[in-house]
Amino acid sequence: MILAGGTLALLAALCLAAPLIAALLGLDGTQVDLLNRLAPPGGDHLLGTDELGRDYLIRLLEGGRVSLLVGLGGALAAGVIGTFIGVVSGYAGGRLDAFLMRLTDVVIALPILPLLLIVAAVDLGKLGLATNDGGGALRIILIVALFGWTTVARVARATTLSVRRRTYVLAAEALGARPPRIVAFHILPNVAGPIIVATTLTIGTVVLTESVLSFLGLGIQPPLPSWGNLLSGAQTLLAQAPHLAVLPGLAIFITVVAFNLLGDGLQARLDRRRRA
Amino acid sequence: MSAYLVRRSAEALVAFVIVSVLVFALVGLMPGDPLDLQLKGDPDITTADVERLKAIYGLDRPLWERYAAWARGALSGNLGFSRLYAQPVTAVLGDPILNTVVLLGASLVLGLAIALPLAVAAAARPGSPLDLGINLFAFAGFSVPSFWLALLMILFFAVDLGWLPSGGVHAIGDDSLASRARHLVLPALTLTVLSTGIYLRFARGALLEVIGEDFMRTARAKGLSHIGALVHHALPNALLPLVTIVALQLGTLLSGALVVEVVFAYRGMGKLIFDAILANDYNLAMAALLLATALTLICNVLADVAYGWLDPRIRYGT
Repeated sequence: MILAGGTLALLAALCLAAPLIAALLGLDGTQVDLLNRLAPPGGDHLLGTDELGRDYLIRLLEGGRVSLLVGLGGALAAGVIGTFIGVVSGYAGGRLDAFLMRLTDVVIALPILPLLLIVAAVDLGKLGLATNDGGGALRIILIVALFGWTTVARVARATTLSVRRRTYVLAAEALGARPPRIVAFHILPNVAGPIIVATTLTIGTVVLTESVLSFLGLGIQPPLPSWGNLLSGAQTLLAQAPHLAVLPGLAIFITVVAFNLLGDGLQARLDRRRRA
Repeated sequence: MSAYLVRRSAEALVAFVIVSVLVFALVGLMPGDPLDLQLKGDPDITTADVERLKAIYGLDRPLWERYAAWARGALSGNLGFSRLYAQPVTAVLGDPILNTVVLLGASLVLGLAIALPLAVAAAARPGSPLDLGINLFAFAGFSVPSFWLALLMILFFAVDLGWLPSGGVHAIGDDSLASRARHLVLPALTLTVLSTGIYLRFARGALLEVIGEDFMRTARAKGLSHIGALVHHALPNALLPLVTIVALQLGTLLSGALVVEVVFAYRGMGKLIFDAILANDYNLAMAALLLATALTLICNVLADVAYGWLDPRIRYGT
């Protein structure tokens, strides 16, 4: 778990420092150098260059900024939606609970990716909304959160149910506190742990989803790089420059494994504390 | 039981109708409607022509009216015309459905054939190096980006080693079973690696749950070996929850299949949906998406029913 956390911290720091690293190396991630296309790793460019001769290390780090941002933002948004649905469901009980949980079951069962594709393909201009937000990071965050809340919702509901009948909640009810106050001051602080774990586990899924959407051309739009769309450019050059395909995928893989291990580790720690 | 079945089916049906309405609305919001292309291709077209064509296609009517018209047609078997393939949608769907079912079936069988023995091996000695190694493999399986794994497979088996074809359903002009099988290996293998981890983790968990039961002690007492008791007594019990998991995973499996099909240019439902969305083929996208949705919902209801049928201890409240 420490290893996973450390890896993530290092990766995030490197990606955040991408402009700094670029300046230090005297490189520019957008500098096109057509005479030096598809250079293999080593030499002037540590990880080689891409199909336009841009330094691949910088591209990779800048892509990481976007991918990690979308991963964190998307998981956070999904966490908020999931917490809301789960806590309301667990606290209210009855028909509302039954309805929300059936809804969750259905969303879990759906073939998410095909549906996400159609949501991502929607032309916001037809709705009369502005579409100009750079590479579309905010848009992808919202789209991913739309389907990513189910894990958190289930966990939030289960833990809410387990504290719903505790004496401190009953005492607050007896004192006449209204449901929003009870949820905010008595339930949420006591269900936060499991929800944070579930949200951490969601980050991995969100990073994967973003990369798939970007790979398929419906996510982050070039020239803004993300680990997903770097790979879609690399697909056609698989035979000439395999490093272009191997590196971003490896970055995604390491990130997702690390987030999953981190979530698992937190989960185990939480279980131990509850049993103690 | 039958009351339960009816209620679950009704719920699935309601969910399906809601999804179909949403998808219909979303498909209409994709860039470019059927007229936009005609507009671009024909400089002489007048505004009056456009209005007339819109009226013919029904694009001037409100959304719910269009949906009602589409639903009426769909119920009578008319799913419209695919712009991309210039054929009725119903004629386009057949082959890809078959291809995807073959792909999913192959990877499901292969996945379970790998997951079950590994789960038994892992559950036999929890915490052992073997268990940790198997866990790590499961972990890697659902953390790896699907398209990257597919690309690596192509890079290694098709480009470097040249053993297997890198894409397609069968070689051009060679529609034999052997050619199809060769083209199936890499996509099926990729999908298997992606899905096996989930089965493995659930099977291991389910095995560990029943391992402390009385019947396990009895089996050991009558002289069965540890592994023997696991295989003959724990595994059948652990398989029950796995039925639900496999069905619940179908949606995820279809998502994985979409990516795998796109990368391997394997003409299945996933690639069909992807191509239809990119080409703004409204009718085809709509039909293919809803078919995939219906398939997963039906399988979920079936799994629920099968669960009760396989495990007589379960009683459904009506």
